[in-house]
Amino acid sequence: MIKTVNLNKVYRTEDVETTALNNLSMEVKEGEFVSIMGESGCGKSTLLNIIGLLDSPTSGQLIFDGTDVSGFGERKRAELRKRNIGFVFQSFNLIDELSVFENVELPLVYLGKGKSERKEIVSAMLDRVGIGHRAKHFPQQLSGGQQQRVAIARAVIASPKLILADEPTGNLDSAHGNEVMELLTQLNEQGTTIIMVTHSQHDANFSSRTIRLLDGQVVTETSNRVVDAI
Amino acid sequence: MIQNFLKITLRNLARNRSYAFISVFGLALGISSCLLIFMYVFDELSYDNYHEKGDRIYRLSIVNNFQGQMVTALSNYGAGPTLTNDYPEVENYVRFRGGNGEVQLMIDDKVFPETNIWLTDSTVFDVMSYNLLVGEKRTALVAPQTIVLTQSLKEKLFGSEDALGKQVKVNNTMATVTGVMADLPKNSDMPINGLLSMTTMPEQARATFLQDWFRIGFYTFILFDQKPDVSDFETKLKAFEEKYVQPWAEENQIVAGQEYKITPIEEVHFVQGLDFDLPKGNISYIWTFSLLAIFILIMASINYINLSLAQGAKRAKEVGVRKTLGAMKGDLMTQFLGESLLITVIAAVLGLAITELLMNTFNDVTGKTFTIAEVFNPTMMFTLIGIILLVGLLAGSYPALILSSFKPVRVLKGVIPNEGGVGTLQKSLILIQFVFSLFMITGTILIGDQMEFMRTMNLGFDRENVMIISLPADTNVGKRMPAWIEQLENSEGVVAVAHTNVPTGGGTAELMFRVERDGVLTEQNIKCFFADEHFVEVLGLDMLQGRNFNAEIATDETQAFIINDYAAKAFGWGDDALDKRMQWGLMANGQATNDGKVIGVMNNFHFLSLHKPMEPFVLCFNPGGMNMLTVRLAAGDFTKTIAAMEEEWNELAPNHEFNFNFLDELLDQNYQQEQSMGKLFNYFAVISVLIAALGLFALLSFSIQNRIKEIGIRKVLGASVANISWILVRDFFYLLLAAFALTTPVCIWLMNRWLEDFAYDTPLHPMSFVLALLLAIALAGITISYHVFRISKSDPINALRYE
Repeated sequence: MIKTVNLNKVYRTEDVETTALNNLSMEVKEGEFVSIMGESGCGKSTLLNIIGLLDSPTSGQLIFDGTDVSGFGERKRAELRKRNIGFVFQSFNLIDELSVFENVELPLVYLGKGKSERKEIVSAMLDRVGIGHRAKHFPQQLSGGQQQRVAIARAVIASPKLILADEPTGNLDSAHGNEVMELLTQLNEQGTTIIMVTHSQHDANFSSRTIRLLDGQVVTETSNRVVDAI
Repeated sequence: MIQNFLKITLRNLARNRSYAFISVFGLALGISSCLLIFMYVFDELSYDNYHEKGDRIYRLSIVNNFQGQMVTALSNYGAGPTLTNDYPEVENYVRFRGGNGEVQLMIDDKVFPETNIWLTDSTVFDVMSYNLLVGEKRTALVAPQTIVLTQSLKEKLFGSEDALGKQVKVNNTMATVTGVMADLPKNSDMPINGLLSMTTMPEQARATFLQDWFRIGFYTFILFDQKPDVSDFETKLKAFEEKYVQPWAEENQIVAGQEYKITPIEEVHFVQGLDFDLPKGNISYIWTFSLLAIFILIMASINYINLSLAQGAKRAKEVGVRKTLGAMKGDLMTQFLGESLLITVIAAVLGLAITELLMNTFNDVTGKTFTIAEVFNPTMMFTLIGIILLVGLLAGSYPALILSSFKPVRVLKGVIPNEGGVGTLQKSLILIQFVFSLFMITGTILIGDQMEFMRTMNLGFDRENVMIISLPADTNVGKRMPAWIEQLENSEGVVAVAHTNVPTGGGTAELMFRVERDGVLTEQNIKCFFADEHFVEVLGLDMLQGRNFNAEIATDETQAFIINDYAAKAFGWGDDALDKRMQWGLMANGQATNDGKVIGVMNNFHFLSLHKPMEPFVLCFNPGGMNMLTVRLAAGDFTKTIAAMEEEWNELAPNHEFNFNFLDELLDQNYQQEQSMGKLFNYFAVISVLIAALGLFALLSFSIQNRIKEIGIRKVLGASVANISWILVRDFFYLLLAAFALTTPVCIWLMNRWLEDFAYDTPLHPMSFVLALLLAIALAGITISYHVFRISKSDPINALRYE
């Protein structure tokens, strides 16, 4: 579903040139749950942002569902993003001025869905992530775990093929973290492809495969299911 | 989607109440100022725009050339009918005479002092679109002693009764009411309460006017058959002058000529510099205030822009999230523009409320009678919508552009563009606000300087403690007045009483004299005044040469003239003016009713407003039969004296109001336009300074919020409150100095142009500019002091923990 070919990303300032991704090639198949791990500064988030079409590579190809999208302009990227990709962030990134319901509803608004249809879909989703009773609350009124569940609900509300999660448990205690990971696992089991950046081996164990990065390159790829089998 | 934007906007406003207040309140003040100013401007520009034949009606004015030039709004009696007769393109004419003086209307024994009662031709309703409610347009003002009243005067005199055919005594003439017309629209240059038929004027008087082309006393309006070519017609008027005026002048041995000019009726309200004109609007004030309105709106918009940008950091996350969720840049632009439009609409609603609050004060200052209902007329509504769109889109577009172009990857990582200091753009915008505020402060001070200068300038006479009393025009009552005047002269609090023909301080007549120059008598128009022998004493004038009038010298009445020193010099007499020959009441063949000599020279005194330079002036002796008294009261509290006067008056003339003015107040009226402009300038200065101060306050608090860690660290390292405050405010201080450097030359240039309107002006004091700067610094200081206080109270560790 996602394939990168010799992906490079170089950040330039006046004096320094930093290579964030260095000829990185990898592939994620439809239905997979892949973790990306590595030390700070190894290029994990850059890779995730490029895959999520929030950032563009300096060179190389990004193939999304068989189409090279690396040359897409802003308009096409936004279009592709809102129909196919959901994002989950470490810091949740909910809009403080909108209620839980309104936050989750937002992607459907941008997809141009009608009001009654939105209401139906959002209510069902909030119940599914166990937060239906908090629909009218504002983000600050919720615990961190609850906020992340709202963020996940928002990420999957438009039924994207792909979810990109950037350290989704980074701001949560272990109990809430596990809740979130279980939610992601469920979604994966229902067919959603997930790519997750994480520092935590515990979280990585929920995924089917782990890709380790170092200095912008893939160093190892391990199947977690095999580890389990051993 | 729109609902979603609305929610976000309103919740954002609610969350950031203080900034929202500053943005919205500032915009509301700006919008309200704009509404008031534009109401004023539209009203001024709409003068006399209601005449159906307006594009064909022109007012005649005359440039009279004798020794010197006199340009008058008044014309002679003959021009209107003669032009109509001779030129096929002139369809009709109408003349107006009188009007500005007070007239006493009497119904039975009840007296109603009224102004704006005009003598006019029966053609008035053909030329002007005055709405005659009762009566016959063509005939109403044909017969002598007929009068048409306005609806409100009719109600005042007759209540709800039918007035047609009723009798009104106008001064000493009985007149029959032949019509009632609707009150004139407020935007009429010539106010009218009643119209008397021109034929009411005695036939002999009309004949005298008709035969003398230089006897001017009528506002004449010409109706053309179609819109004329002005310069073409004025050329024809040269031939007219050659055909009629020149032969008459030659016949009467007068070396003089006239140039006739025409002005479209809709422009008459703004014509300046004509003698004997009605009070006028000033087109340069219209421009000035329109510019002020636009500037105040810009100031308020700047607050909005600056605060939107300052809040950008808070909005960045929202932008990032929306973009990741698929929002296009266009969606976000629309959202932010919609937001600014919404805020402008809220501000406009608040602005309407502020307009209502300020309306009375604004009316007091401008002399208008606007009501809030007039804001809802189509022109003003169109203006308001225009303002909303302009401000909403202009003020909203830059923040919208900046906010919508935030990169989601960066803002979601917490990298906010421009975090920390105040950006160059924001500084430039603040500079604009400072420049404008300083300009307003400096302007206010400089206008005040000139007003004070005129108020305190030595006018050459003693303006204090002088009372002007008008005597009843009714001859029956007039007969009883000498007894009252005698009482007055003997009363304890009265120093001296003089009789005059017109109120002192209310302008002068200008008549044609002959004066001796190099042994030859030559015609010259000179400003003059008729008074008795007490006038010199009452005003405290000095006789420089010769003597005052003397009632006991029989020849003084027809053979004595007193001139001012300026005339003595202007006529080339210098110190040798006594016994020079002068004539007044000119007749043909060098004859005159008053033919005599200069018996005295008095000091120059400013008998005109200080807009006008000193001119030659003649005092003619007329000891009896005049209807004005000029009374010098003993200094001190004269309320008792006046109360006693009034009591005696009421006994003698119970039906006539005791009408008086103080000379200094009458003189102040000469500067009414400047005074109201000064006041208006003052108010708008306060508003613009307030807007700028609000903006500065808010921006500074953002700046402190963003630099809170820096402040904490500096405090920990031992910086004093003064150190930190200086770091925070020094940029603003330098901006203020830059604004001062930019404003001063502009102010000097503009003020010098304004002062050109005055023949006497005060030089621009450098101290006034310094004062303006100090005032601006003080105001900025007050704005900043709250923040300094907060910093001084805050614990450094809080600032660090905040991070």
